[in-house]
Amino acid sequence: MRRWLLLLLALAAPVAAAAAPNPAADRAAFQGWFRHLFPQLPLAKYVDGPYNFSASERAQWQQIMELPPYGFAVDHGKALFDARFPDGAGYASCFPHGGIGIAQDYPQFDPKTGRVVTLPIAINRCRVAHGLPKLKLTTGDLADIDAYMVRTSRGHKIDVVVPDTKPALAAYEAGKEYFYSRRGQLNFSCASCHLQYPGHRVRGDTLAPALGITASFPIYRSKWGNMGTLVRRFIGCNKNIRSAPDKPDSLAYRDLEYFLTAMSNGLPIAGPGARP
Amino acid sequence: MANPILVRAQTAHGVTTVACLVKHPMDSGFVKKAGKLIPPHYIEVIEFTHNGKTVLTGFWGPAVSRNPFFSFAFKGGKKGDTVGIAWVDNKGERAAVSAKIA
Amino acid sequence: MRGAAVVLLALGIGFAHAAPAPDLAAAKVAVAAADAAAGRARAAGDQWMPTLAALKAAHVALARGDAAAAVTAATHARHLALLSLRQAAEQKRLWRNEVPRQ
Repeated sequence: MRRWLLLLLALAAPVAAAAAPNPAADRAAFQGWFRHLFPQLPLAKYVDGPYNFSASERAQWQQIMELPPYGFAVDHGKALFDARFPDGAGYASCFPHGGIGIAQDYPQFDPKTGRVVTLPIAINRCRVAHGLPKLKLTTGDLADIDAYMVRTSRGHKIDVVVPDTKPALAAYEAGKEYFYSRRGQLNFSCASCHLQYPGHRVRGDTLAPALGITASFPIYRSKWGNMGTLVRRFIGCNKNIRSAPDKPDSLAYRDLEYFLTAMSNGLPIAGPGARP
Repeated sequence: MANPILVRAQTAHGVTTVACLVKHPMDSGFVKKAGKLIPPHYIEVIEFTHNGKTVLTGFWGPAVSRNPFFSFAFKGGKKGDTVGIAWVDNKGERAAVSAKIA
Repeated sequence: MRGAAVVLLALGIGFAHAAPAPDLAAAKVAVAAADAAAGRARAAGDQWMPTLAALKAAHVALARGDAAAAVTAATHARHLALLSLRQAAEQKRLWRNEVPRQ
């Protein structure tokens, strides 16, 4: 009887170990996959996204970057960031280091609410704490403030921490499941394009690799003609595969951003970015 | 300034390259928002000067994108010369900026 | 011979039932069923955009009193919702296949 129990335990242990979420091991496998796909491409280059795979697009991009189209947004975002709230405080009071050079630490897991907090959501929380209404999470003023805060963090290495607690790991695992689950009428997962076919084309666009994709957000997208946050891109992706998008502050998108950014740990922040 | 223009002018081997980013909505007048047409609002004429002398005049219109980026090159510019950019749009609004060639 | 007669009879009854256009009560039942299926798909976290489009078309047709169009659109919406539910249920298991392994 006792031997049976031991055998059962021995069998159960490796299964339990494999099933438990392990962000560090996931990241090693995730980054290893891209190294296998593009052995020549240095890790830090992944933040350039689609421009690694098309010389003509890269040349255009470099010309655009002489006078980056997000410049106006960063200036506007700085003005908004420096403005005082009616109660005298400012955005700087809500963030460590006065909100300068901290974008690499987001998204964070908030143990109090049990939810993931992305940088745009943190900006909105700051507004609510000082009695101001929330801003739209996809574009507009919030994207401009986000752009300014990300601009001050450029070059900092992404460092998303997944605490070893049950709710944090559950959020991480939910984001992972979302990333790999096929959805929508076209039966695509996020991974179907951005993990399996980076560098290939979908119609006129070159697919960006999932590794480092979050490092350039928010982006000025020529198609939009203005700034957009990562959530705006999530919504666009979902629509492209005929899947009804979630709400911008939904748990699904928070968890997805948490997982996706954690996979890019160690890459430099390159945002705000310019994309076609 | 409400309508800023970002300029960069550099000279090398006798050729001066001017690049600029103009902040402007450039509404064509054909786009609807909530069922109503956004009235046309676009730059009609943009003029580039070198030490006060016109080197390029652009007749733009509704087909030019929002916040347009524009770049061109001319001969004869020297370091420290002044490059001026001025535009006027269909509503009569104007903006001008000048920069030194680097 | 008797068997064939029964089959013919059954076919005849089938045709007789299919022939009359659906009434509004039947359309309401069909739209309610489609709504319920779409609700389950939303709860499963995998709603398809064409489901919502067909559902909207069904509601519009019902409001117009076009029972036949409402039944057609509602049936389409319900089938799409059931497919998305099937996809969501399968992916609960299959998503792990897409995860890169070391």
